[in-house]
Amino acid sequence: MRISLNWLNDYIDLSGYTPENISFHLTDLGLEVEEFTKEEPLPQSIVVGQILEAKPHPQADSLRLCQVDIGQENPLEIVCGASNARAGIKVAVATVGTKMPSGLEIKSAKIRGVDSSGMLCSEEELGLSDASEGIWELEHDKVVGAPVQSILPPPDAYLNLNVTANRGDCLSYFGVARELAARLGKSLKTPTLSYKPSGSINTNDILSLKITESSGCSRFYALYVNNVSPEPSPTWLKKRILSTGMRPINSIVDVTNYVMMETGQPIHAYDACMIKNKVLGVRRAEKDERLKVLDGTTINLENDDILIVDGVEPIGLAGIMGGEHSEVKDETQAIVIEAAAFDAIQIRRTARRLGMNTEASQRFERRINQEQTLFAAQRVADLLYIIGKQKGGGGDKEMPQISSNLVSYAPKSLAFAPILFRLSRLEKIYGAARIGLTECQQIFSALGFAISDAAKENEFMVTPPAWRHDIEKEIDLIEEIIRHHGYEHVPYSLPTMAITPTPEDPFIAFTDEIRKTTSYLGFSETISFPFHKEKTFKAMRIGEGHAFYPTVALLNPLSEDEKFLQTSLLPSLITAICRGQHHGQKGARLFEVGRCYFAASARKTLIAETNAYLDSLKINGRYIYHHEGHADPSERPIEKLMWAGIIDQPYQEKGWRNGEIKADFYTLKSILASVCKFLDIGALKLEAVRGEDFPFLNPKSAATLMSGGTALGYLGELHPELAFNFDFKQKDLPLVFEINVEQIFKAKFNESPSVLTSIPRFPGVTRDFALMVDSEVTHEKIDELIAHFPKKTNLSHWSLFDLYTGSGLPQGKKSMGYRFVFQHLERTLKDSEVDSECEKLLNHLNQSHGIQLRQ
Amino acid sequence: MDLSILGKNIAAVLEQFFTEVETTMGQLSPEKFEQLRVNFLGKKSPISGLMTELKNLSKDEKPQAGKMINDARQTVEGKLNELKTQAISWEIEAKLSGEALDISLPVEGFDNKGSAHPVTLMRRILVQSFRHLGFTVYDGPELDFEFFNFTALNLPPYHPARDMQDTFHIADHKDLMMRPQTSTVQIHAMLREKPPLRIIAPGRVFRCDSDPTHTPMFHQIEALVVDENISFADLKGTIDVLLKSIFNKDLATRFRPSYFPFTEPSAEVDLMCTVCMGKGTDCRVCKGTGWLEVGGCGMVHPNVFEAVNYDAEKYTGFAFGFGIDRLAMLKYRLSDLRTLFEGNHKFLSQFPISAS
Repeated sequence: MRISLNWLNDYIDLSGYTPENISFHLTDLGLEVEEFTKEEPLPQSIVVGQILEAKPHPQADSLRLCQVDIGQENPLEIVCGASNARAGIKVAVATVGTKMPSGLEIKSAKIRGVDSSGMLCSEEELGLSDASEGIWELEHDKVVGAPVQSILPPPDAYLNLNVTANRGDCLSYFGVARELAARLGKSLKTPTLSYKPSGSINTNDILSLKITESSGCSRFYALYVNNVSPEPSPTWLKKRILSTGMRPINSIVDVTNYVMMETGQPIHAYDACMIKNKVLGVRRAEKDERLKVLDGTTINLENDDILIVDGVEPIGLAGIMGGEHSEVKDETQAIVIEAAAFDAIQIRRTARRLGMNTEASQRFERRINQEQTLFAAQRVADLLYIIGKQKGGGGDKEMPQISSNLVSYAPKSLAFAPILFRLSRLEKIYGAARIGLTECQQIFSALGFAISDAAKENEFMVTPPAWRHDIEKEIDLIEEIIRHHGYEHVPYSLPTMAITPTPEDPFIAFTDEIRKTTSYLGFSETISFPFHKEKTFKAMRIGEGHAFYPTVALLNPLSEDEKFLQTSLLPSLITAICRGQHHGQKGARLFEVGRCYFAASARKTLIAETNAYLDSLKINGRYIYHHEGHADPSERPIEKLMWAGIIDQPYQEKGWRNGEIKADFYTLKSILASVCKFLDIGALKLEAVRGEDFPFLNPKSAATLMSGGTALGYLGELHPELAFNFDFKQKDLPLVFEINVEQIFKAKFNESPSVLTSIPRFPGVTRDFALMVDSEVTHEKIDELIAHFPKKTNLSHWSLFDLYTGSGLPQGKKSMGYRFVFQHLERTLKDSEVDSECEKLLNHLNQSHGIQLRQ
Repeated sequence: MDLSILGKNIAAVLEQFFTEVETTMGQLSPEKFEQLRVNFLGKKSPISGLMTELKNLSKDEKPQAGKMINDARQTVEGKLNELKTQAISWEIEAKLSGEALDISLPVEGFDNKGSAHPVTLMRRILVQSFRHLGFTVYDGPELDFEFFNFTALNLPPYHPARDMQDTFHIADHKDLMMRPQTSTVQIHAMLREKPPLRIIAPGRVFRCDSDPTHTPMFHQIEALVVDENISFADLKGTIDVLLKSIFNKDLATRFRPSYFPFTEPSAEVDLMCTVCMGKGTDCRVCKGTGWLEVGGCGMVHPNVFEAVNYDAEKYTGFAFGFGIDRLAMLKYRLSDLRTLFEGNHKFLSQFPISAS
């Protein structure tokens, strides 16, 4: 809410306080001042003048040549284009040399051959209004020659208040002034009604109420005012309406808005002629009803919307916006002022559904002061009366006629229940005994709370005023006290409590270890949004129904095509790499740890699968924290924490010591081995992938990471088709991996820690053999054969040191060089012993797979 | 064989030795030295040969002859010892005499060292600071029911405060949404644990909002303390200590009344600007105010305790939430929030692996 300090000064005497001062207090009371602006005074060189003579310009019919008296010896000659420039009126004259609020400097100039020394100003040019026709005509009593600023209110300051959702009462000048008055120890000045009701008209003759909706409407007042003229508002009113951020329309609409800002009570004025059958009512809408509202749109109503109706049809959407048909128009002569209280929840529902967030709906949603609704209706009439008088009408003919009675609907009086306030509880919450009972009582009284005695000492009963819907419990009363006393006075202390009462989930620390380890291995961590387009999944070759196809979508995504929640971190990583390549980046290594979302839907098999997954992760009977609160996986999608990385090419650029090194499957394998070593996770195995399981991987150079029978994730090269589906700039595709952190965590738990063996003191004997092997026999197979060599006695370990495929070998064969190390724990081995074991080993290999020594 | 012949032989051996020493001197290396030693003191050396001739001498001459051979051996050994020291020092000298390395040559892959995300770094700093104060880390789901997101947090349906967060709702799942704040974890933790409680919950949160200063996903850290005598003063003290430790500077804190449905009283926490140290003038970071908004806090609302079946009269507590991204931006002097989530390797790789 934007507050004008000049306006605020109507309700609380702020003389002696600077805008900065007031701003500090409001912020300190929880009415945060987000911004404040000070108005610049008008330059002294803009003065009151009187047009002595206005002749048509000899060269241009549309211009006038004015002789203007500004209290100097000779009148000024000023050329003016406004049609209302005429002899006798008092005007604002910007003399030569004036810098206007717009920045324009007034110079003496020849206009169509005639010298003009100054400018006659419009309200708009003086910054007093947003639009104006012709020049500003000042009241006749203004003294010629006086600076215009001296006849205006002092330069104003405007504060933008951030009013929190609980303080509907502070969406009004009354509310803000009340808070300030309580803080500054000032009294609140509330306006009193001054209008004389007309004896000749009676609202009852004009209409009767028909409220069929008691749950949606708790107050309804209608007041008839005749003989009104919807002219532009006087300058002071226009300026105040502008200061709120609204646009001045006409004096009637402006006054209703003015009173809304003043009291917080939204008000609507109807053209009395447009209310059919002399009935004004409130009812719920019926489905398929439609209403054209003030801003010109036609809205479709729903069953529960609250409507204002006349005897025939809807004329307004209650609490949100009036109908177009019955709005006040230029020719309106009589109006009905409506002030009412509507159900906060229903107003919010309707406003949200229609996306209509109006000044009125904001106030109704936050609940209004029903005890003030009647006053607000009368206050509108009162202001119309005051404006009529200001216009100098004087004669009764030109004054609005205000009905002496209203039609009203106020079935129940609103009474908040008294709440017990205990000084001891205040002290417990506050943390010290610093505030006395008297101060508490003072604060409550200043804020309009009623106090009565309670049974015990240092306790009393407090009844909130009608405008404080936010006060429900003792804690709310305590807040009022601490807030008005000042948060800054609360001392600083530290809680004293038992040490570390809460158990920590080891999974959380483990996840961070994974992050650290991946960073140590050369990857930069990235964090990306989990929202994806459907076409991204297509580009990943993931079809509908596939395990990687998204199953969780947003109802209200930021943009319709980014509605799917991720099932893999890979799309984000690939996108980041592509973008980097376009910026000329090479060899980037990125990783991310984040959750992926999977819905089990209503399919029984999937629900069972999901349940099994969750159960498998339980440690000591408890879920991992982020699976907390799981009732039924069909209702709540599961969130799997994934860890993924991508290695762009080349792995290492050409340097002065080395040539360029490309990343391949084995680079990745070695990195993952390092991670496992870092994290002490043993016994992980790779298995060949099935292409259809990971459609985005090249099945020829990819693997699944296994622990026992469980797949933890995958690693490998991207599928060649992705080179075309994504916007890669480099020819060589990146390498990727993605691993389920929950599963690898579980694997760490399940695998027994690595067993240490004793280290022999005697030197080993080494033998190298080049073996000729069928191409399709894997290293793993040979490894297994050696491990199960039945006559193994001293063979302690072996490794592959050479791999050769190519010319010089028979078709379908490859050469694999293995180094065998033989060792004895207690003595040095003899050559003959080793030779004999080697012979048996080679025999064993030959018998199993026809493996021969390469000649 | 007599002593005079032996004497001559010894003299000849010594002469030969010294001649060889002479010729070797210029190019003495450990290898040359070893050769010399083997040649003159080894099993097949002339001196060893002389020893075998002792048996040809008479009994009377033997002691004299032995002494002569021994003297000769000692002469050789003495000289060799002298040479050995020299040989080592010459070798060291030779090794040091070469050209020095150009230590400025680049090492490959220097641009490819890993890094942690600034949000991760800030989270670690926060978690560490909280751990010092006895907090433990808690976590909860990112997709959560209305009950955890709103109702249990004292935000009944159609409450205007629900506007404070523009929440993403999940299609086909009634009441399910992406958590707009980490406060949901308070509810999970309190439903699972009994008081006293002292937890933090860092995590991702989501709001349908995207402009230069808002991203649809960001990070918060939530703290919750519940016990029998927790006060607003404790809340102020805890936050003050934490912020000082995070920035490692004596920065003042300010508490302004505010409104959050799940706390009462509630406050906004302002931290003295870490850049201008509160001076304000012309500071871009705090826009001249001298203060930075870092989060919200308050005393746990009794309605929240009631929602999780805690005795609201017996227990009091406080909770607060900070934006991790905002703190990271302050710490690392970043000006554009969106760069955090763009995955630009060049930007990300500038960050360290460990926070300090």
